[in-house]
Amino acid sequence: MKLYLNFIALNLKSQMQFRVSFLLTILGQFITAFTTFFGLYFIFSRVNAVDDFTYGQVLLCFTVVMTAFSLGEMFGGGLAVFPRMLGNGEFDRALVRPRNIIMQVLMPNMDFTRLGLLVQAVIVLFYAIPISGIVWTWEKILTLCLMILCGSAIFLDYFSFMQRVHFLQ
Amino acid sequence: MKMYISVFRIRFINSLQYRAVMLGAIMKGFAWEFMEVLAFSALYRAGQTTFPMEFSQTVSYIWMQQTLMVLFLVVFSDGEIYTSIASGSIAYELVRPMDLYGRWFCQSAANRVAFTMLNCFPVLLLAFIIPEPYRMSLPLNMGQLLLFLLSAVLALCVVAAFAMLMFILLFYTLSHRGVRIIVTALTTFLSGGVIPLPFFPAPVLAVVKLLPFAAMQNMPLLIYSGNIVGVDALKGIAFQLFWLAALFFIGQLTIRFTLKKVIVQGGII
Repeated sequence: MKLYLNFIALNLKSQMQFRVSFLLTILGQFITAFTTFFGLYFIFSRVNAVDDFTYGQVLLCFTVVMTAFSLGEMFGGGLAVFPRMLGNGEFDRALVRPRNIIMQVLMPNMDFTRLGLLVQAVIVLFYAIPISGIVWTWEKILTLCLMILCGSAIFLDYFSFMQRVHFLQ
Repeated sequence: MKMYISVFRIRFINSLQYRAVMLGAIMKGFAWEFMEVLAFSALYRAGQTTFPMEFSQTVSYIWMQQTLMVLFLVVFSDGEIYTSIASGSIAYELVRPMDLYGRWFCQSAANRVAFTMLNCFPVLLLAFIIPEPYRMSLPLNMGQLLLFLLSAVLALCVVAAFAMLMFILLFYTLSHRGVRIIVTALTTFLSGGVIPLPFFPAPVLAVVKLLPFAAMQNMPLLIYSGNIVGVDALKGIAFQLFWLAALFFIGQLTIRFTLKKVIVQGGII
C-alpha cells in the first residue's frame, strides 16, 4: 500500500511541475461543470417542476452523478493512457513487476485536475441538500453516500472496461 | 488566393481519412441529441407557456445544432497547430511564403467543413424520419433558408477567427490543455450550446446577446428554427459581420505583435 501512496505522491508532484497549466485545467473543469449547472438553473427559473420532480430534487440528482463522475474520472481517468502503454511496450514492463497490475496502471496516471470538477460538484451538493426538501434521516444519509460511492465505482468500472476493449484492437 | 484554396483542399481530403471515427461520433451525437429532445419535451409538458421558443422551434434548433455541430466548435481537433507551437515546428511554418494567419484560418475552417460534410447527412436523414413531435421541421420559406445559409457561413468564419485568437494565446502558454478546456466551456455555454440563448433570464441575455459568442452557432440556428425572422435576421447577420471584422482585425494585430519575437528551443527568429 505504501508503494501505491508513493506513486500517487510522485504523480501529484510531477503534475504540479507545470503549475500554471495545472491550475488552468482545474479552473477549466470548474467552469465546464458550472456552465451545465447554470443551464439547469436558467431552465428551472422558468418552470418549477418537471413531472413532479422539483428543482431541488433534480439538482440533487445532477450533483450526485457529477460527484460520482468526478471521483470515477479522477481515479480511473488515467486509464485513458492505457492504449499508449500497450503500444510503446510500457505495459509489458509493468507485467513483469511482482505487484498488482491494475494498481500499476491506475496509480501513476491519476488525473488530479479533476479536482476542479469535484470541488464544483461538492459545492452544488451543499447547495442542493437544503433546498431538496428531503427530511434527512440516518438511512437517507447512508443512501446518499452509497449513491455517490457506487456511482463512482460504476464510472470507474466503465473506464476500465473501455480499456479491456483496447486489447482487441 | 489559390494557395489558400489548396490548403483548404488538402485539409479537407486529409480529414476524410478517418471514417470509422466519424461514424462513432455521429452515433454518439445522435443519441445525445435525442436525449436532449426528450428532456426538452418533458420540460414543455410541465411549462408550456413559460418558454420563449415553441417546442417545434426548439426541436429544430437541437437537430440542426447536431447536424452542424462541428462547424461551430471553437475547439476542434486542430492538433497540428497545437503541436507546431509546442514542439517548435512553427519555425518551418514561418519560413513558408504564406501569411500564417490566412493559412491557419483556412486550415481550421477546412477541418470543420470536412467533418460536417460527412456528419450532416445521416443526422439530417434521421431527424427528418423520426415521428412527429420530435421531427425536425423545414424553415418557414426559401428566404429564411437562404438567410440561414448565409448566417451559417458567417458563424463558421467567426468561430475560426476566434479560434485564431486562442492559437495566438498558446504562443504564450505553450501547454494547450487548460486553455482549451476553458475556451470550450465558455464558448459552448455563451453561444447557446448547453441551452438556446433565449432561455437565459432577461438581464443575463441582454449582456450575452452582445458578445461575439452570440454571433456563433446561436444566430444561424435561431434563424433556421424561425425564432428570428425577417428584418431581425438581417440585423443578426450585420451583427455577425461586425464581430467577424472585429475578431479578424484583433487577430491580425496580435499575431503580428506575437510573431515579432518567437523563441524556438532557445533561438530567436
